Amino acid sequence: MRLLGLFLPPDDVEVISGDLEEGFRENAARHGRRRATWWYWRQVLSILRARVFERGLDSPEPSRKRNTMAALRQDLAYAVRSLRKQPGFTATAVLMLAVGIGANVAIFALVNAILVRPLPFAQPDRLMLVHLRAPDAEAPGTYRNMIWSYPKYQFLREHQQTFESVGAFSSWTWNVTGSGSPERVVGEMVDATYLETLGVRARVGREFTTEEARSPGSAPLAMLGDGFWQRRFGGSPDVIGRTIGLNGIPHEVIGVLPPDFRGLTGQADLWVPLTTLPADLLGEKWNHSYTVVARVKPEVALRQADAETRTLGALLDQAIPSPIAGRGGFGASAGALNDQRADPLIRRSMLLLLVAVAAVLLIVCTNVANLVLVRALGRQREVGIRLALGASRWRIVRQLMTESLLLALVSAAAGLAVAYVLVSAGASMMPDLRVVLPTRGQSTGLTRVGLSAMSLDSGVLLFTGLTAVVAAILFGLGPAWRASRRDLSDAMKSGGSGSVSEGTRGTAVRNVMAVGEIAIALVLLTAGGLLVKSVSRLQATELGFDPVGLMAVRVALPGPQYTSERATQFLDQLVQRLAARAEVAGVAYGNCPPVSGGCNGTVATFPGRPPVASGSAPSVGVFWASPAYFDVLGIRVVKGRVFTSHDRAGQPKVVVINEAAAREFWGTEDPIGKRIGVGQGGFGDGAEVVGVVADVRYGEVEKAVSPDVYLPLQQSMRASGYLFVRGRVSNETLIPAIRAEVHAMDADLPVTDARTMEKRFGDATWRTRMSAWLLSAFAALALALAALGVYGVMTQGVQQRTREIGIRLALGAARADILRLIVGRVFAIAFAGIALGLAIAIPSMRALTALLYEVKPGDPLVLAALTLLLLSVALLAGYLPARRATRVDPLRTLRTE
Amino acid sequence: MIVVPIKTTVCYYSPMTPPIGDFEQRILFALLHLGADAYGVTVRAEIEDRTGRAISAGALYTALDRLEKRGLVSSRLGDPTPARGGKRKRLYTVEPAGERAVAHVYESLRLMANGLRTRLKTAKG
Repeated sequence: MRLLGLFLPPDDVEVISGDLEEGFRENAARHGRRRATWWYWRQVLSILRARVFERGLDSPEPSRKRNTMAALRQDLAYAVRSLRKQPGFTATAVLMLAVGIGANVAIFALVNAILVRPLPFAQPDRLMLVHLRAPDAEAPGTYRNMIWSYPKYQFLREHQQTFESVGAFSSWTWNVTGSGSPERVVGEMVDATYLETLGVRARVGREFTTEEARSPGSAPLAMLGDGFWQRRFGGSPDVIGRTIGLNGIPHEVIGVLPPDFRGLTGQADLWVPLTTLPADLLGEKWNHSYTVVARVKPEVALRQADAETRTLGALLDQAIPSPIAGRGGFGASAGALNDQRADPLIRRSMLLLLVAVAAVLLIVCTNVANLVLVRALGRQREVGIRLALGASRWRIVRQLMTESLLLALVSAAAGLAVAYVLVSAGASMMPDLRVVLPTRGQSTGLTRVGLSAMSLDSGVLLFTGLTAVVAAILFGLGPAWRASRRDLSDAMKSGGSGSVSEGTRGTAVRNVMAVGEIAIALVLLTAGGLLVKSVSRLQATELGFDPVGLMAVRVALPGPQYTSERATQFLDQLVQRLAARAEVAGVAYGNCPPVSGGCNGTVATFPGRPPVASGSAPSVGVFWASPAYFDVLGIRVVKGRVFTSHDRAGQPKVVVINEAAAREFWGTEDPIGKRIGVGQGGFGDGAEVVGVVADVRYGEVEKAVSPDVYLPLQQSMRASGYLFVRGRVSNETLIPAIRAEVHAMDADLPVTDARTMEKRFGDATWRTRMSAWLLSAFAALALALAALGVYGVMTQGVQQRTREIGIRLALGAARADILRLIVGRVFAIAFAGIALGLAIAIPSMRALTALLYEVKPGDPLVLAALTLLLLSVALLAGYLPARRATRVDPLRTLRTE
Repeated sequence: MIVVPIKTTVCYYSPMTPPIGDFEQRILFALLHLGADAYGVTVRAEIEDRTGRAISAGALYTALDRLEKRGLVSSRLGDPTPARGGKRKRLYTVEPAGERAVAHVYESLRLMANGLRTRLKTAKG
């Protein structure tokens, strides 16, 4: 009815919608709902059509308006007829445009999902993420956003006045037991107000009350995600009131959340109140683990909310002062949730792709413009007659534009189909996209939330329509303008034989278009080439371990049942039992797999050295490793030894460091035998460095390795980690074998996240690979289209000069001269295009710097290779028509004149 | 929709004013049949029942509009009913000029058809 409201006064909308509703009910009663719905929409359309065409009745100049309408209909009918008359032209143009528009729509759908479309929460524009502001140890004077500790969050919750509601959550994983096989489930630990803040309600059962979620020690409760509920409980509503085991503790299920809701992490299946956590953990002022989301009061502007949060941040610093003197206050700030939905690098990649795909469309439009121009010039006589009979130039332009618009709209429809195929292929090609995105900060969770809603929605449809109109103007207006400008007598005189004389200006315009196409193609090729080189450098990066044939599976021993001693014993035994199996060539245990990011780190101290100023102590990554770890992962030992089974509790504490740590902390000195303390795992007072190993990339592959310290697992337990297994058999046999061995020791212990290290490496480099792949695809498309453009321009050039060539041949020119004449023109076009392309590419590639890895934006090798490629393709495209020119039969050309 | 107030005493139907179309004639007949209960839904049902042909809502409202603008019918808003989702209906009445127009059409048809009745009936057959 909103649709009708656009065209009708409100009274009429009421009356007509009432009539339609009555008619719908009657129809539904007689013929069923489906036919009634069909009927209803047909009526709405008929009313709209009647309104659009009859509107002129109300206007002061009804007859003129009606004439316009009639003329439009006439133009449209004429356009349909004339496009059908030249199916070859129509098919070529539609094909090119469909590919161009389709690629644009597909990329827009991706960008729309990740960056544009409102996040799927109630009134998402009023949601903000509230951060603590921590002084950045790496860059003094700057601050970085940090998440909250529970006491600080409590302070915020109690003292803030700008937010309607404030909620906190923390990503969490549980081993779920009871009803079905044990599994590891990702979820969120939440405050009572979290769901309320996001505006989400239970679809079955109820939400946590404030009372339940805030009083420590209350009975453990859980809410389920819809997918998890369907999977594990078959969607039965009886689940309410049942208990499930989470890490061995029974939790009562009180509600199920709606299907599309996966929390702000975008992957949650389970929600549990924060108060389930041990009180001492929750009460720890410096345990920063909780992300805070807030809904601004309707009357408060986001900027104002940020300002008031900052004021509150100062109060917070007074209430909970930093224990490290001189470290400076923390403070707090708030930013729109929407601004933080994508990693800046992903945002940049997306914008890059959008620009690239628009450039492809530009080339397509140039090619189509060329076709349209040729066609329009072929109709000079028709246009001339119409002008002579008194048609205005505007009328002619409009007629030709109607054809272009029709062409563009038909192509857009075909383009939508192309986009649909691309989007569904993209979605199925990257099924674990949501797992793949590196979990860096909150933004990637929101990227997941956005991506899960990728589809061809109304925004995408609108974009398609707009793209079609813009394309029609781009490729249609110029030719239409030119074709209608023809001198009357000129047009009438030129014969009806279809031979087109166009004049030097037309040729010049065409040449410029070909030059432009080559330039754009070169820019795209360069961008694609640089990214491809980045990927190849990334693949060649020294990872510090051998990922080939290495499987990693996650095993997490639940805290309550596994004391430190029991866990040590368990893991020891598990590794031994696995090692004894025929399928296994080697097995080890470590807490964090390489190339995955999100590993643990702390501050290093050096007993015996003078104390450093607080806040400037160096930070190190801390890793726990079983004795076989370095051997199984293939980490090279540079110096000294690695852990042995003798490095157990009670023995002197030892650590192994990486080369980066050796270099940074001891320079040229030999680090073996030196002491280092790390603030974790009971190693604060220092331990002896017994070995140095090669640098391993634990974080992002693109980032340089920073100092790392390994602690022996048997001197410091880490009950949650990964088994690294080198198998003698395929992964399909290996994974069940590992699982069987784990379950033989503890039937309730899930084995999860089983991925080879090669796969993990692939996932970690996803963003770069995706950008490179898509951009190369666009560049290849641009290259092909530009070649087609050059071919077209040259073919027409040759056709136009057939007579001239014939005369030259008749006067005794050698065929080689003719070839040189034409190829010379191709050279000129290609060189001009390349020069322009390089002039654009070299400065603009700097925008790519952040996305490149070990490649300079002006990489000479890439530039040279692609310039050469483009030049040869352009020459080949121009050579074919040139050869045709040499075959001109001078007698025949002269005779036809 | 702009309702143009036209004094019916001044504007009368004569053969000089533009003739009313086939579809508009049928609407006027339907309105005369329906009397006080003539609005979108009933007018449509009346025509469809009598002629056996479906008509589109767009055509119907456009024609009713046109008839009203020409002073042949008038309309007023009626009461809302639950079957319509609480929305009001627009009730139509044939104005004297409209009645004259129908009469004129019928009369001229009748005059022309005189003596052809039997033949027309068998042709319709």
